[in-house]
Amino acid sequence: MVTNRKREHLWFFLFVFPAFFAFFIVVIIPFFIGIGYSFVSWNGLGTNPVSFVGMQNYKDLFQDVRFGESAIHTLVFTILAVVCINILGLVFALLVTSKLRINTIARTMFFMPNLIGGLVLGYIWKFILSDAFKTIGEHTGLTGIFFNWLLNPKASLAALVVVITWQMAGYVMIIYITGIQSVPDDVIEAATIDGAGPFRKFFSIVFPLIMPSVTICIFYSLSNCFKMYDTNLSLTGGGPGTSTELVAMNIFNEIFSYNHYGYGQAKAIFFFLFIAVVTITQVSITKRKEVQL
Amino acid sequence: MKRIGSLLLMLLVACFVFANGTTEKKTETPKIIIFQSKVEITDSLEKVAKDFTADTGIKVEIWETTGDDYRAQLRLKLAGDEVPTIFTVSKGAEADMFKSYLADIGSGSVQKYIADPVALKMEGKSVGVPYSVEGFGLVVNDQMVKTSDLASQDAFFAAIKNLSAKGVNPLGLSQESYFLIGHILNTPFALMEDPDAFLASYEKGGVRLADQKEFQAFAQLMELLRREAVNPMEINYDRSCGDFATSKTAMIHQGNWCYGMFKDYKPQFSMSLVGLPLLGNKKIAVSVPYYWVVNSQVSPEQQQAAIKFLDWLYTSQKGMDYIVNQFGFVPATSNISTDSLDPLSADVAAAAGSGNTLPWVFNNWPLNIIDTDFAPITQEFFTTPSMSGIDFVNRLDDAYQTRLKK
Repeated sequence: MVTNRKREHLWFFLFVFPAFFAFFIVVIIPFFIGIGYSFVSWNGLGTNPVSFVGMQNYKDLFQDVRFGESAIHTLVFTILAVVCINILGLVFALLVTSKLRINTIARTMFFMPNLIGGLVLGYIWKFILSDAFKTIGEHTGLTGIFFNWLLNPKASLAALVVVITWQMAGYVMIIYITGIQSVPDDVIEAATIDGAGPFRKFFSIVFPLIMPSVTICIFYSLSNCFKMYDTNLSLTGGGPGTSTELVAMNIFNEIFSYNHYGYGQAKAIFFFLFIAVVTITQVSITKRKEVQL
Repeated sequence: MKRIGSLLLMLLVACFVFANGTTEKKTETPKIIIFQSKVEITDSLEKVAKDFTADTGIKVEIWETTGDDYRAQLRLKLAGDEVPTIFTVSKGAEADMFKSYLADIGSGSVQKYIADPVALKMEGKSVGVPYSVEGFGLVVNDQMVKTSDLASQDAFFAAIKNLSAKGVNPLGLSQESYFLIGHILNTPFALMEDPDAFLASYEKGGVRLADQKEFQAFAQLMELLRREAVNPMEINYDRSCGDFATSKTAMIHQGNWCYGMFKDYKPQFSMSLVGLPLLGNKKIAVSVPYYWVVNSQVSPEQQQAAIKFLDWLYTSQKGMDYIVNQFGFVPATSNISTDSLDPLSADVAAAAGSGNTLPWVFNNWPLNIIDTDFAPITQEFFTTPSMSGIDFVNRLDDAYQTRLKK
């Protein structure tokens, strides 16, 4: 006789199974195969030999100058992007939960960029930042801002930050909206009666109470920015020279252009470990700051 | 209990249905899959496929990709479930890398029209059919650039300055890796007394490119272009050809393949393909760019079908018509006449016939070095005014030496 609890477990398993199955086949299994590949040296053709080299790949990646530069570009980009995305997302969320008339329209408009895929976004912005900006600069004379951003290394990195912020701010805004809306009204009212101004209300009451949302948003934007490839490829392709080659692009080129399959895979595993450590640290820090009402 | 059991069973069966959906039945007539990299001929190639199927009943599927991406895609496709039956490789480093995938096609009837210098042989066996003969150099607008402007390096540099002063882009490079640096860097290597010997001694080490007068001339040219020409990073292949066809650019560093790109503009001027006048050079770089090869890992029936296709394309009337008139190729096989060629291809055919050509040394550079190292360095050169031409050559030199060690 199947008990009610067992039956519930069975239904639970049934509904989760398809997604878990797909995840297992597409992510988990290749991940472990990849760990195996990171210990060999191979150039990708089925008929060429796969030779075991142990930890040599991992030793090499610490001496790879280009990988180091990519890592620095990625760190700078990620820090800038996470800050911009979260601040902008929070500002939009606050705007949209206040008593303005255009709330629903504004909400839709802010979220729409997230619906465009990263690749298409990169191409659209590539056109805007190179040809369009150059033409505007020539016509208005404001060449301090309106020049071809993609020919300047620093401006290209800034361009990447702009594009990723434009795309992700809306998504992050939605998460912050739910967080802000879950702050009970009576607490805010009590604060207003006590004489708190808007900034005091925000920083002392609203912000600590939406910490769960902050955890999620920073985690989401952090991991996405670290792993970014599609917008990088379409917007700058590595940028003038190699100035905007982020780590994902460096690994991809290592494997598919240099044909160092084992070495590239070792870099990828190392990259995974790095992101895992950073994001787990971040989540545990911000989780400790969460307050209960 | 029964309901859950039957639901689980349905789920399991559903998984099997999806798993079976992709296996092919092998009882159909052999199908050949062609994977090649030239974007200029893709439309015509589809027509070729239809005609060949109509003539012989063998199905042909064409896979396409962009030129820059082809090499990366080829490895993926060769490792996939469905593999290309016919693909293309260049002689040299690339053919060596894919050695184990090249089938022996000496039995094809087209082989007897292939002269030894243009054949692709591995261990004495014939493994390729030469695509065509191609040449690159300077495609010049005859109205804007006179022969006297190309007579010597000094006249050439002066002409560049004059054209730029008139508001015309004197020499257009394009942002794609081969059109940015790959082809133009071939010239200093090829101008050496014995290019093969130079490359061998350079790869052994101890030779600096910047010490050679050919590379010093190259450095001067690149600095001049950075000063006088439109920044190639802002131009792509389409725009480069368009600007040339509408006389906004006087010369482009291209090859006879780009003639097809001018068709839509109906250019009103005559054009010719000449050598890049570094150190007084007049020769264009001519070679067989690619060879059709048959995948040795497919079934023997598919290999035979592939050999039939290549024979049909290069020896039948319809096939030869496609090659010369639709693709715009300069034929590399002795059985095809070269009368009806466009002006650029005619220049290439003439040069190939007289033997007065520069070799394609870049085919022997480390694989993919143009895309992964030379192109980014050149991008940096064009966006950093403080980098001198000699610094640029040294950077290219260092990148080459580093890649040799890997």
